[in-house]
Amino acid sequence: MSAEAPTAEGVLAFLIRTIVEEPDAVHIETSGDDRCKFSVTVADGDMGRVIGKRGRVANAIRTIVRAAAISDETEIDVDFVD
Amino acid sequence: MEWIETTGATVDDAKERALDRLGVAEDELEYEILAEASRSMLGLKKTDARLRARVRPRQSLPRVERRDRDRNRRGGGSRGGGRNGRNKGNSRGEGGKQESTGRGNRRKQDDGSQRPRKDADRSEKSGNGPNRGSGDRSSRRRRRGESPETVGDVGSGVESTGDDRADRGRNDRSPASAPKGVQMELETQSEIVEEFVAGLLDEMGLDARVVSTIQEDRLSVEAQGLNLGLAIGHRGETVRAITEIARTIVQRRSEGAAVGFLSVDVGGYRERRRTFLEEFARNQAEAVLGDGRARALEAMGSADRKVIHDTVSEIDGVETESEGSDRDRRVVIRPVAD
Repeated sequence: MSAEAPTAEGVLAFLIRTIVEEPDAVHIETSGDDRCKFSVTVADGDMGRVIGKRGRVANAIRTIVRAAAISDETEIDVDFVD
Repeated sequence: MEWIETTGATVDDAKERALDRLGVAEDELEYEILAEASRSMLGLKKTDARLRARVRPRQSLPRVERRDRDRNRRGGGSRGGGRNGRNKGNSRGEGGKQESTGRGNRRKQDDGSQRPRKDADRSEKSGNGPNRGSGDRSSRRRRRGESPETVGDVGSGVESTGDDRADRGRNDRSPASAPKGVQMELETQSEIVEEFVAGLLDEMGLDARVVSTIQEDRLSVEAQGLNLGLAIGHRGETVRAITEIARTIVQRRSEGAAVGFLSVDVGGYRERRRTFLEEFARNQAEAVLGDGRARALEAMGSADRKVIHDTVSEIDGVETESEGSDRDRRVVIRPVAD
């Protein structure tokens, strides 16, 4: 059985699309069994925006998405795939 | 924006000191190393590291032209006129005086009402930098769509923004950041941030109302509602994360030319935290005065430490200092040596 976290995924998609220049290039893949893992791909030029200086933006995204996952009663990981 | 100079045994120490004094998070600090710490060849003489630091202005482009634009796009007439005076010395008048309304545009009465006097005083006492981290959020709320409150402070025909800067002394930005520009820019930012916060909380399945307050060069956006704990997080970590993203979005949409300082709150968390810290600081200071023994508080972020420094600086007989580095940095309250 694979894990699902619809709220977290919705929040993640919202955050990423808000931050990037090319929302159409955003792709989120879900994997994992007991724990949802989101792998995020964005347009090349947007990677820096999503990560931020010293990973600050990426960490902020993780914090918010983890909070959202509490509604889904699950835990999640977010990976940004280069 | 005023520069301060700090010293420390290492550059990091000096930097931590600057963060404390300015009360900002690390990414908001701009600094230059004036001198590295050094030792003489025999290791006998030690020189401290020295730096020059300030709060990083969020505005990178001169916006002189904005001075002459009309700021009163919304709310019709809260901040008109004011071109005739950046009459700096004149701003500390007591609230309620209106004797100077005849001196210029009548609308100026509104100006000056939004100055957080308490804060200005506090920051003056502590001799600290721009009190970015300590805006008095409780005062003067302006909701979108309503006209700003009129409180008859003024006492001078001076424009509040410039006037407050002078008042606070250290908050002066470059002359290019005209007060009018600040106001306009923040209104645009507030739309962006409100939309973002409302959209985010909606995605999180939370029911909230989002309101903005603009006070001088500070934009506060707050999500209000019940059961917002999810969006606050452990010790406010989610609030901070939301703020971080909001700043990122504003910076991007404005192409780095956003002015002012943005703070995002959820469910009144920041305000509660501040009130809590102030009371905590006063209690601890009293305990120190009681038995004359210094107390080290728990480790805190720089904005929280600044609340402690500011609160304790108003109490006679005690002084504060930060010790430790990075995540372990904490405030020590100690009795003042006679």
